[in-house]
Amino acid sequence: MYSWVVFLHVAGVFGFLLAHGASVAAMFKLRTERKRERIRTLIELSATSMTAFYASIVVLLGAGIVAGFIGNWWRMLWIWISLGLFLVIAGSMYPLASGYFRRIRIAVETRPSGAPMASAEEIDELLGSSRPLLVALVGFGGILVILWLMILKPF
Amino acid sequence: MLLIATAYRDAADRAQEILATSARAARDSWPRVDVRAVRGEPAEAMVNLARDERADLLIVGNKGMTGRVAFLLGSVPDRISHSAPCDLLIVKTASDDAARHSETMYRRMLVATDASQTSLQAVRRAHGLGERTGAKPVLFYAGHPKTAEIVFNEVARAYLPAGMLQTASGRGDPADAICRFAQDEGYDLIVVGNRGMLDGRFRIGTIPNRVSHQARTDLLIVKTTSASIDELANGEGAVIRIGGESIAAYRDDSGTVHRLSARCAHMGCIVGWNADERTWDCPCHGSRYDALGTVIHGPATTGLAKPDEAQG
Repeated sequence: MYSWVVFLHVAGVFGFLLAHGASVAAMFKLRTERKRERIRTLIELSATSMTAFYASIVVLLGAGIVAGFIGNWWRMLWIWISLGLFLVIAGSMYPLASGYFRRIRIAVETRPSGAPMASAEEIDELLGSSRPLLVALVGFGGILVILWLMILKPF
Repeated sequence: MLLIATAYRDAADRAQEILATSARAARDSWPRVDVRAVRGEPAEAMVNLARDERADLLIVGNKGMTGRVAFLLGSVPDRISHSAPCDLLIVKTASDDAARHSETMYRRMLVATDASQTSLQAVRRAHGLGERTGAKPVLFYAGHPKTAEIVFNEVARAYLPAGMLQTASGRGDPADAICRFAQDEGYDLIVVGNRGMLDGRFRIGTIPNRVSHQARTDLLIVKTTSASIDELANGEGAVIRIGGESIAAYRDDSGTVHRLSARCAHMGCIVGWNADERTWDCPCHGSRYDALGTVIHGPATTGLAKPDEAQG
């Protein structure tokens, strides 16, 4: 039973990485893209992956919590820190990343008159910002720490 | 006509006293003054009175609008600002500058705009006010200066010959930029549309809401979006809370009202009305629906549900 729950947990992690990988790739590709239609397509691709992303989070979190009970891990500190860290990362990534994508999505829209919503200079500034690096640093760094906690179980 | 109103819970005599004093002061400058004391919770009573009287403009002082504690606890003008059925003028009575402004007409008016259909309504209202008071509205866009050029061209194209427009722009957070510019340049009045104000007190990200709490001048919040289905004009849509549910209501050009669940079919975020394109747009992942709820842009793959389907 325990092995199957861990299997589900790891499968959830793979789903999470697969789905969120699309967003990460789109976010970095956006930094060098300047054609509005292609920018729109990349943002839509990222948004489309969100359903699978949230579904895989439910699976990995649910299976992880159940595995904690079956394996009697909740008396250990590492699992609490992992869960807390996961919530902190999720809480900070959402405003960091969704705000970035939302601003770009609006900027590349066209007004009813046909005029662009934002100037090419503003789009260039938005896409050239360091936000994707910060998002990647928080997300990847946080996941590395969680991985360390789960594999080595230091506390 | 000027209707001076006060709300009371128990002290009816005190309310009549206040009204009598206020009416005496106002009769010197207004041809027709009426007074009304209304029993009940002050914000609700004032909003209902304005609705019943079909008021064009509701005027309140800004007591309790500033400061974090005031924001969290809420104040009468704050609650009114989130449900006013008409334009709302919040007069600065709580600042050190209040006495300086108390006897003067508006001379300098700063109108925040992004050239959206709703903000253009605010521009028109400001222009009308300017014609009566002699104050010329100055358009302000908070954002990139090159985008500001696009915005001002759009306003000029939609409304006024470009030469008639005075414009300014500033960078940074929009609400901060508007308030800072108004204060630094000595404006008497800031004018904004009410888009986002009706979504609730704690939607702190909306620009007019933040301006209402930060502005150190009088603020006119022009009603550009509606709070109830009855208020919807033909061709207008709005997200309206009915029985605890968010309804995307749209009144078409023939006057027929279409009700849909405001929850995006993709991840359940609440959509917003895009008056420029007459679409429902999801702020979370960019799904878009036409006015009748049919999906026109992903990631959503199905349209907005009927309200009863969403509940079930």
